[in-house]
Amino acid sequence: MKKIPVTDIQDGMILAQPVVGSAGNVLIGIGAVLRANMSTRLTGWGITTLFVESSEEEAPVTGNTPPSHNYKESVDACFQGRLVNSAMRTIHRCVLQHRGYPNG
Amino acid sequence: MAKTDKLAQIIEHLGELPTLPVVIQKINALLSNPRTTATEVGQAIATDQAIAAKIIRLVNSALYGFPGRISTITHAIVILGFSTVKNVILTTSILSRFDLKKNIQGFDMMGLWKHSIATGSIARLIAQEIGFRGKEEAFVGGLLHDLGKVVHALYLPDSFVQVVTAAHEKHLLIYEAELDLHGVTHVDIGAWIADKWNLPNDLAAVIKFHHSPSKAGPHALLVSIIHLADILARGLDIGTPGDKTVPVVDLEAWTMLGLTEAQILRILELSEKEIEQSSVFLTIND
Repeated sequence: MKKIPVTDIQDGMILAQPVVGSAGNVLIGIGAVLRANMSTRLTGWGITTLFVESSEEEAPVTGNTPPSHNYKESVDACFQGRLVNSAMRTIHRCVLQHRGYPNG
Repeated sequence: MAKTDKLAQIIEHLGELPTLPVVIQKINALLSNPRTTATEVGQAIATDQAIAAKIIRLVNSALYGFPGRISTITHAIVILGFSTVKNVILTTSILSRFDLKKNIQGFDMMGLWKHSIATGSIARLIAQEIGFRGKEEAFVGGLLHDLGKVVHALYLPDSFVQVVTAAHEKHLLIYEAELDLHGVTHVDIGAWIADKWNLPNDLAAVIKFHHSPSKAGPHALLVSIIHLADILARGLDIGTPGDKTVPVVDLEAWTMLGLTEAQILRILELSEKEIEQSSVFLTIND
C-alpha cells in the first residue's frame, strides 16, 4: 500500500483504503479500480491524497480483473438470501458495478 | 400480548417525546394555501429565530446551488420555490427535536442518521431520473422514513439494542426482528409519531409503508422511490440502518418505477456528491 496525491492516479490502480467524505460516509470503497479522470472529482470533494495498492499488487489497466474482495464480500453478505427475483439480482449487480466490479 | 397493547406500552415510554414547534404548524398551513405570499411565510418563520437561522444556513449550502447568496426566508422562497423551502422547514423542525450527536450504548446512532441522509439523497436522484415532481418530498421522505427507529433507539435504547442484536444474529431486517420480538415495528411507532405531530400525509405514508410501498394508495409512487432508495443505500454500505441485510424489493414498486440498469448506475454515480452535500442536514443543530 502506498499514499499518492490524487493528481497521480493512473487507470487501473486499486484503492487500498476507502475514500471517506467529510460526513464519514464512504465515497469510494476499498478495492475499487481507479481511473485517472477521477482526480478532478476527488479534488472537488476536497480530497488530496489516497492509498492505493503498491505496484506489485496493481491490477492490469483493463480493469476486468476483480479488485480486492473486501467490498464484494460485504455486499454479497448483505444480499445473502435476498436475491430471490431478477429485480434484486439487477440491484445487486448495479451496486457491484458501481464500486468497480465490471461483471457485477 | 396483543400488538395494540405492546404499542401502547411503548408509547407510554415515549412521554418525553418533544412536540413540534407551534410555528411549524402555522407555516405548514400557510404553505398549503396557494394564495400565501413569500413575505407572509418569511414573517411567520421570523417568529422563531432559532429555526429561521437554521433554514437560512441550509438554503445557503452547496446542496441548493446558491451558496452564501440567500439572505432572507422571503428571498429563499423566491429563488428556490415554496416546495423546496417548505420541505427545508419541515425537515429542520423535525431534526431540531433530536440531539443528532447523541449515541446509545450498543448502537451507532450517527450511522443511522447517515443511512437516512443516503436514502434521502438517492431518493431525490430517483425522483429526478423518473421525472417525479416531488423531488424534495422524496428527499425528506428518505431522510425521515426511519423516524420510528430513531425514536425507539433514543427513547427505549435497551429494547432497541435487543432488536439490533437479534437482527444481527439471525440475519434479519430490523423490521423482521421487531416483529419477532415485540410484534410492533418502527413503522407502527413512526405512524404514531406522524399522527401526533400532524405530519403531511405523503410523509406519513412513507414512514408507514416504506416496507410495503404498494399499499401506500395515492402515495405509492413516492413511497416506492423511498423503498428502492433504502435498498440502494444499504447496498452502498453508507451508514447503518441497524441490520446487515437488505429488504427484498416490492415487485409492484419496481415495475412502477421502471428503472433500467443504466439509470440505476447513473443514480449511483451521482449519489456520492449528493450524499456529501446533503450531509449538511446533520450539522443543523451545531
